[in-house]
Amino acid sequence: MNILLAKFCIVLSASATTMLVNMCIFSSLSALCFIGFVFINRKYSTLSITKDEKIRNLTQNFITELLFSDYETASKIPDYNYLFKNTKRKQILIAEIIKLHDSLVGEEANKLEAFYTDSGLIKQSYSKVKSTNKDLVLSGLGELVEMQSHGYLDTLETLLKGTFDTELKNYLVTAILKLNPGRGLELILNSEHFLTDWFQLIILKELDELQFEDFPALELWQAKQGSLAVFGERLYSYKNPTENVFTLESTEIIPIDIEDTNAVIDHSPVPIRANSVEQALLDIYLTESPETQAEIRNTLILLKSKIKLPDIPESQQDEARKRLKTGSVIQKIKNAFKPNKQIGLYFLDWKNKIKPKT
Amino acid sequence: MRVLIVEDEVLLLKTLEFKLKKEGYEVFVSKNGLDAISDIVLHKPDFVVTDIMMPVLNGLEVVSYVRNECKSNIPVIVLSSAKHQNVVIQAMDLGASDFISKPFSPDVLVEKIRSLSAQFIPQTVFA
Repeated sequence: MNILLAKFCIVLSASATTMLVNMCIFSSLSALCFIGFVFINRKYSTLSITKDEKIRNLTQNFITELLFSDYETASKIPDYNYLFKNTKRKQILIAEIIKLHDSLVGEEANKLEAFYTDSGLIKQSYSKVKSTNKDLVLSGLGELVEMQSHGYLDTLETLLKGTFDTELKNYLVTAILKLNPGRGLELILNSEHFLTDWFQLIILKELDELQFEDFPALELWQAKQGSLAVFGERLYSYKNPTENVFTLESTEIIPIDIEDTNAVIDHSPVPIRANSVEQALLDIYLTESPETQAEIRNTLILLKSKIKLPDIPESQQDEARKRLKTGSVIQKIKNAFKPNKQIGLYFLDWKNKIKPKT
Repeated sequence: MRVLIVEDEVLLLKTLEFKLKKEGYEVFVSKNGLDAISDIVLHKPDFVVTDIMMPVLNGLEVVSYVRNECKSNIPVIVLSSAKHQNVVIQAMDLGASDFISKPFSPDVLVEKIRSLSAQFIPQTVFA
């Protein structure tokens, strides 16, 4: 009996040991797999960043070469086929061209426009305009407008006539207006499209920036109904601004980014009356961040509002000030030290010498 | 003549570098204001072209460094978007010699460099 019990104990302990060993092997393998996964993942993302960086560098060198030679020579550059191989690379090329074109005028800008059209990159922008994703549509339209793609005006007009989406209509009208203001205004006049106050202001701002004043006759607008007739009046009164031409409703102005709002109000070719915007801004004032509160104060100044804003509680003020101050100082020091420690120290020394900004 | 270009938009920086080198200038480039300060000390340029809106240190701080720290009167041109008129005025107050609004033609920059260099009489050499 004792022998049997001893044998049973031995078998039991052996199986327990085997189980323990198996568990250890399993845990070790899992840990190894996890480490391997993390390693491969990190390596892959680093490789991907390096590859993107490489494409960007090649793109920039290619464009610089293109600007100071001609298209024929540029198309023979060995990197040409590499950069045009797939959509992603072409998109990087378009983004770099657009960014540079935004800073240049004259011969170099014309060369970029010609290359954008001749190389077929323009087709990629147009394919974005036909997308169902609004962000892509906006980005494609922005590219066509920036590169002055007048050849696509008919196509944009066809798209405009074929859509019932108000937001898309506004994007398309603005793009056509930027490419050809006269044609854009004709389209607005004949479209029976409802124009919100905000959109009317955007149109006026575009016309003002383009210094365009050859509008369709006032009688044509007066023959229309509703917002089109109002817009016609505003279009003509914009030449001789009168007081209180525009009244913006809070529902139109508040959902828009407050900084953009201020930029449009600041550069508005006509005076804007605050009206119900004041109350809406007042309602959100105390709950917003210090940056937005500052923007709201700017908006009210721009609107020449006489409304009195409530005082921000001391505790909220101190906290925000402290956070902003610490954040900006730490960031500056971090940035300063990043590229070169020696220069960072030099910079700090120099910053200590100059008078603090008020 | 040594020209330092300070611009955070890499492609614009390369374009201006290419253009000025083609015109026969010795060109140095910096991608932000902090690099520019070290390059000013290192290369002692005869001319500085700087963007205003840049990370780390902006163009105003570069102008201020050249005028107040280096006590130099070398020509400094600032590049700025037309939207930032107030900042351009600040740059001129700090001692910038001239400004160019973006978008601009590189030919205009070359022309400005030529005319400002012709008027320039060095008063202070970098230490």
